[in-house]
Amino acid sequence: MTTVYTGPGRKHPATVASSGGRSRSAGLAGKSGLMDDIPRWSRGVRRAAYWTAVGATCLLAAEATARLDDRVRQGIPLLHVPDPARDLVLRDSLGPRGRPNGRYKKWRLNRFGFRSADMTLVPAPGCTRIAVLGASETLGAYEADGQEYPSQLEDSLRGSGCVEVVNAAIAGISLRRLTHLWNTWVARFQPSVVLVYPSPTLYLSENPPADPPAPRSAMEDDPPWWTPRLLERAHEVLHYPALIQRRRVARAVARAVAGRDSSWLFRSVPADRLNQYVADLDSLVSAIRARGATPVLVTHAMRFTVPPDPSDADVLNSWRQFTPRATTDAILAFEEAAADATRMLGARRGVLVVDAASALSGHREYFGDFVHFTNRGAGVMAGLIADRLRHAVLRSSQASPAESADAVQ
Amino acid sequence: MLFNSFVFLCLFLPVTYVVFWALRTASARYVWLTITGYVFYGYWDARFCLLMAFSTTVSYLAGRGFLRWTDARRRRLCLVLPIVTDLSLLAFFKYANFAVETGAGIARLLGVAAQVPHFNIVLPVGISFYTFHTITYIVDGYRGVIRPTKNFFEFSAYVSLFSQLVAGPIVRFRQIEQDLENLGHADRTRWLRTGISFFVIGLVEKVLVADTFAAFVDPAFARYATLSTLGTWAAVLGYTFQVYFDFSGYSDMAVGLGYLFGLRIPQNFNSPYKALDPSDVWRRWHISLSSCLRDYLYIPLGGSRHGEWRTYRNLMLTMLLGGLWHGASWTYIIWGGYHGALLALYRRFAPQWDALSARVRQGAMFLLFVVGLAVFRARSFEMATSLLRTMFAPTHGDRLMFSGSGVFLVTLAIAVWWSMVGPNAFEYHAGWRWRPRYAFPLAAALGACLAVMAGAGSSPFLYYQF
Repeated sequence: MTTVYTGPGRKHPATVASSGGRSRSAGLAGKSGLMDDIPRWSRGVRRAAYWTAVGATCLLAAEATARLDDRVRQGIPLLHVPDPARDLVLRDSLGPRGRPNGRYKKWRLNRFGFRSADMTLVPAPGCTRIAVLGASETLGAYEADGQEYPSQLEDSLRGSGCVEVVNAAIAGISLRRLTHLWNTWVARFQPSVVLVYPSPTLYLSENPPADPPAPRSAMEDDPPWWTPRLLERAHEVLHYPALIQRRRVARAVARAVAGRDSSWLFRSVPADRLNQYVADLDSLVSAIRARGATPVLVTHAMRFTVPPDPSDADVLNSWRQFTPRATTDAILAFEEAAADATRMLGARRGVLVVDAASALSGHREYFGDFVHFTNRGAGVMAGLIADRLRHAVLRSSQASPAESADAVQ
Repeated sequence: MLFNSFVFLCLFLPVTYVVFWALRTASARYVWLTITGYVFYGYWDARFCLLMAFSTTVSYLAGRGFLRWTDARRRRLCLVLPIVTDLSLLAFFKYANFAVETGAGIARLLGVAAQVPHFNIVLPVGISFYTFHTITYIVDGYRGVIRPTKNFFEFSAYVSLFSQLVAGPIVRFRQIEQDLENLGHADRTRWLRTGISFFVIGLVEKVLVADTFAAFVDPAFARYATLSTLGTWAAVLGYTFQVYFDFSGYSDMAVGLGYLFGLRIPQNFNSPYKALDPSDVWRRWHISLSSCLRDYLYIPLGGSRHGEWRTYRNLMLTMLLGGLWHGASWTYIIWGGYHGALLALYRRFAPQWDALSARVRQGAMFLLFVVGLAVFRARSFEMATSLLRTMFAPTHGDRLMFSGSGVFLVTLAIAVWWSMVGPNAFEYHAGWRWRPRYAFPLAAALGACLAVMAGAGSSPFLYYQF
């Protein structure tokens, strides 16, 4: 039988003689006993060494556990340093594309590097394959696994025959690189419909989007295995109070702007950047059509109305961190101008345009931040696209893929 | 706010601790503990602080009434009125919908078509626990077991003490009365290391053991209808250890936190899976609740003083109400009834049961407890019957309920050893004397827990729902 421990006596701690509870650590602390004859400075050094060792033990155990936890939950090798830019993106002679079987946290890519279920190279006979080209909004950020809008789109289209949606998005990819991705990789999978959901603000970065750089050796910029994973975990749990976060954002933007000439800032829509956006989108449409697929453009939606609600000021300023060259007014104006340009391009080229900007922008509940969807927002987005596709594209593409482009026109 | 959250560990606890010991008088510390208790509680939903404040005030006034009046009529009024008030609040928030739905169900059985409303009531976290705190205070005050306090903040500090506020243990006033009174003279360093040690052990139980089981068990129960017999047993077994390490971990953390503030909170779990018979289980499992049920329900009902059948009746009534205390669901009532029946059967057949070897009794008792937990875990009567049917009638289905079974089996092996063979936190600390080297395993354990919390997030304690 076990003995029930009823607590260390019912006498109050303060009334109990202290000798019973005094320990060698008290000696270490220099209060009595063993170390009385040791010089004070030496005691201080020993105490500091002791607590340093204790702290180091805590950190080492935390790091080891983080690696073991990652291994068990996500299959990440113990000595690997997880990084979405490397784990989810492969940069080879074809340019940047999804890494085959890439894994990073909840993101899992299939053997062709798409965030979709396993698939064959060529669509099954009688099935419509829809490829979705886009950046992080399409790849999925805040949504639960399987709730990103391409996944929900596939669910929504289940009743419309055999439809397969391939999520070919890559975080941070511009239209110019999407064209490269399409030509070198995605077109091989013979989708009959290609949805394009561009991120206009990538055209407000310091330098305009360019073609993909030459492939780099995977080894050359791999961080060393001892790079602590704890830092990443700590970063995830650290939520600064609004006041501090506001200051951090302001400081980050101020650092990026410091020393720049005032003409460097985009205070309104930069015409050259908008023109490049339109030209790149136009090129992508041509490239998609050149491979016999039907392009469908989706205007970019954001959390904000124009002018923005004052309560959204913090989120809007946070967005600016990614494009410090543009003021928040310029960002919003560019978003609107890009949506208009997309609509006009669609009309000019006879491309179906799904107007997500009009339908979703300004609905905060649809966005986890400035542009990335929540589960609900992704659902609305998927529903919106599914409605338009059902009416304008799918019937014709299922009947005759070659004629689908005409059906849209 | 959760004990296993960074906001608690990195902000709330350090601030509470530093300010508490910076204050010099007992009164100031009572006020501080009250404030922190309400901040801790209000972090979840500030509206329900008013409810707790109301319940505290009513019970405090009852205590003052016992001090002031000696005539039986007024004292009885001071007993009945606050208890009725507290139980009414509990009944409304916890049982209103259950009562209405049950009434509607009975009406349907009688062929009466009844349109019943569904109240949109949010169950305040921990209401079952602090209601018990206040009721035990009132009853003990009435019985003269304690001398009610005149200091409002001493009482409010007792009720809103954050370490035991939302999921127990149900500490009776008399159990920490002495420590509360001496709070102004408490020695900060006396129990500091013991407190940290208890807290870290509790954190390990919760974060490393219970939450690991939860990762496997919760998805399995979400599709219980597709599980095979083996899968169901694995899920129920996993839940058996999840619920124990979750609640025992919480209780050990509460004890550790109590020590940090000079308050000795009594033991709530004494390795219940080492129990040899049904009575033994309830002397070891959720000790603070079972002892309350014994002292404030079973014994007033007559206990075992009025013959065999009255004893069985009292056992059943006590356990049925104990089941209902856990939640407004028939599955909890059935679970309570099941344990009432086990207690009654044991009372009837104790000589035969006790003649068995200790290992057989421990194994059999554990299996009986596991079967009960299948009902306890079920979210509906239909789910409970499905689980029990699958457990006992060989069924094909999902043989392995999860990927990563190796992790489950390793955790299971650790959990079996720790709960059925190894020492619990109190046994570990019996005769314990601090050694500087102890800091290293504690630091390692703390680091491991923090790393998992940062990766997987902080999961609420199972008993928060009660």
